[in-house]
Amino acid sequence: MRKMTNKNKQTEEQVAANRKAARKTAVILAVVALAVFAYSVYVVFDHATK
Amino acid sequence: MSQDITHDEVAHDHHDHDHKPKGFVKRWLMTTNHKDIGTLYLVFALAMFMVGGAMAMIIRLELFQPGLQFVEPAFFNQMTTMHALVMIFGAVMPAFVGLANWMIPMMIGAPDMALPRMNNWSFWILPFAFTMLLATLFMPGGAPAGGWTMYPPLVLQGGHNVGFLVFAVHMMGISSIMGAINVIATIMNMRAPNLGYLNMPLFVWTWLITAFLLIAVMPVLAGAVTMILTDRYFDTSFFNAAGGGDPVLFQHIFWFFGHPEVYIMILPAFGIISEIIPTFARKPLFGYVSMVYATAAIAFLSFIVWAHHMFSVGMPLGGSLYFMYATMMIAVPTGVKIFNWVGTMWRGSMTFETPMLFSLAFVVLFTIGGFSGVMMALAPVDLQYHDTYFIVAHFHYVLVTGAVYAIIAGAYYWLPKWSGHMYNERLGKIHFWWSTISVNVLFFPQHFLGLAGMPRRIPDYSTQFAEFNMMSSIGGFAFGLAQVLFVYIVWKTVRGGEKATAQVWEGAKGLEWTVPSPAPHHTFSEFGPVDLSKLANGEKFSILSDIDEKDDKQK
Ligand code: HEM
Ligand SMILES: [Cu+2]
Repeated sequence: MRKMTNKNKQTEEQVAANRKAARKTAVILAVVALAVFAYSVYVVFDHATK
Repeated sequence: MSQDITHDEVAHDHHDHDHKPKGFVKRWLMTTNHKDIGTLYLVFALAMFMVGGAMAMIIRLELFQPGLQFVEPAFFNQMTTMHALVMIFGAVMPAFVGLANWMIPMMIGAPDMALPRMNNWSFWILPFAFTMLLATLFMPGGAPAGGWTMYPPLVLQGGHNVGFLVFAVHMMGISSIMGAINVIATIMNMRAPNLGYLNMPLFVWTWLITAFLLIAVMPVLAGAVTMILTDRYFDTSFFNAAGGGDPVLFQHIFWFFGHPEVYIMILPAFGIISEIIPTFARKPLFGYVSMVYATAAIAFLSFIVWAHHMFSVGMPLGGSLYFMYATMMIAVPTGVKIFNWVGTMWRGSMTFETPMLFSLAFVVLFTIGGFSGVMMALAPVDLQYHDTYFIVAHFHYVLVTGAVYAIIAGAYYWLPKWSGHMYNERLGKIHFWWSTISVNVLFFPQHFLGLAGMPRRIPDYSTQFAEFNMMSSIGGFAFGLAQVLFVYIVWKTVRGGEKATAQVWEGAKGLEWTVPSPAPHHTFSEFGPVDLSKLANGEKFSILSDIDEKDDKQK
C-alpha cells in the first residue's frame, strides 16, 4: 500500500508502484470477466443437456 | 511551459509537459495519452451518432404516412435493428468512455489512465467492429434485421450477417471490458495520495460502479451470442426448440445482460448531471453520500429485474410478482437522485448556460421516462404495453433526453477545457430549445400510439395512427437537423473563439478546473497530494487530511 501522507511528494517510483498495483487489479478483473463468460456458457450447456 | 493559474503542488510542472507527438500516426494511431484517446472516442461516437441518426431519419420517413412509400419492409427492419446497435454500442457507450478518459484522470489528480497501452487498444478495436457491422448493409441478404435483442430463432434467419454481427458484438464487448478494467484500475490505484473514495467527484463514482456492471454483464452477452454463432454455423441447438434447445433461455440471458446495460448507459449520465447542477446552482451537491449509495443500489437492483422484459413470454405468477415489485423498487434510489438534484438547486444562485439547460431538461424528461418505466413494470398492464410504441417512447425518453442529453450537456460543459475556447452561447441556447421542443414532438405522441395499440418495429400501420405518426416524424426531422447545428457549434469552438479561463465557469469546483484551458497534453505528472479545498466536497469527507493536521500539531 502506498503511504497516505501530505508531506512526501510522490516520486516517479511511486507512480510506477501504482501502475504495478493497477496491473494486478486489471489481471484480477480480467479473470473475473473470463469466469463470468465461462459460467454463462456453462448455464446454457447445462440447460441444453437436460 | 509554466502553468500560471495555480502554483500549488497539484498543477506545478517544472518542465514543458505539453509536447505532443508529431505526425498523424504517432499522435493518434499509437497514442497512449488519455486526452487524445478520449478525443478519439468522442469523435468516433459523434460519427456513429450521425450514422445512427441517418437510419432514424429513414425510419421516420417511412412512417410519415401509412402504407409503404420509400423502403422495402426488409430494409426497414434492418434500419431499426442497426439504428439501435449503432446508437447503443457505437454512440452512447463510446461517448461515455471518451468522457471517462478525458475527465477521470484529471478529476483524481492522476497523470494518465493506469494502463495506457491497453487504452489505445480498447479504442482501436471499435472502428474495426463497426466497419464489420456496417459492412453487412452491403452484403447479399443485407444487415441483421431481427432487432437489437437478437432473439433466436429470428436472428438465425439472417443469412451470413449473423457471423458478422456476432464477431462485431464480441469486439465491442472486448473493447468495453478492457475500458472498464482500465477505469477501475485507474480509480483504485491512481488517485492522488490524499484523495479518499468519498472525496471523488460523482462522475468518477458513477463510472466506477458502471465499470463493475460492464465487467459483470458484457461477458454474459458474449457467451449468448457465441452460442447463437454455433447454432447458426455448427449445428448446435442451444436455442433451437426442434433440437431440444430453448429460445426463451436466450431471452433470460440476453436481458440479464440487457437490463444492467441500460443502467450502464444512464449511471455515467447521472454523474455528469451531478457535476453540472452544483456548478450552475453555485452550491455543493445536496446529499453527496446518498448519491453514492443510490448509485450503488441502482446497480445492484439492475441485476435482479431482468424478466420485466419478458412478462408477455409467460412465467409463473410468483415470477411475475417478484419481477414487478423488484422493478418498482428501482424507482426509490432513482427518486433519491432526482430529489438531491432539486435540493441542490433549492435556493441556489442559478444561471442558465447551455450545459445547465440540458441538465435541467434531463431532470424533467428523464423522469417522464422513469414514470413510463414504472407503468410498464406492472406485469398485468405490460401485457398491453409490450411491443408497442409505448416502449419506444419510454426508452427514448430515458436514452435520448436522458443519456444523450447528459452527453451533450457534458460536451458543452467541458468543451472549453478541452479546446481552450468558449462555444457560442447564443447558438448553444438555440440548439437547446430547438432540440427540446422537437424531441418532445418526436417522442411524446409515441406514448399515445402505443396505448392505442400500434406495434413497434413495423414499416406500415393502420390509418387511425396517421396523425400522431406524422407529428412524430416532423419532430424527428427537426431534432435531426438540430444535431447538425450541434456538430457545427462543436466544430466552430474547436477551431477558435473566445479564450476560456482555467476555471471556465464561475461556480465550477474540481481539480480539472485548476489546470489551464486547453488542458495541457500532460497534467498532474508530478504525482502528489492535491488541494482538497478545490473539490466540491473535498474537505467535508476528508478523514485523511484531518489525520495529517493532527500530525502537524503533535510536531
Ligand atoms: C424507473 C426506472 C425504469 C423502469 C421501471 C423501467 C422499466 C422497463 C420495462 C418494464 C421495460 C419492458 C417493457 C416491455 O418490453 O414490455 C423497459 C424497456 C426498456 N427500458 Fe426501461 N425502465 C426504467 C429505466 C430505464 C432506463 C434508465 C433506461 C436506459 C437508459 C431504460 C431503457 C429501456 C430500454 C432500451 C427498453 C426496451 C428494450 C427493448 O425491448 O428493446 N429503462 N423498461
Ligand atoms: Cu429493463
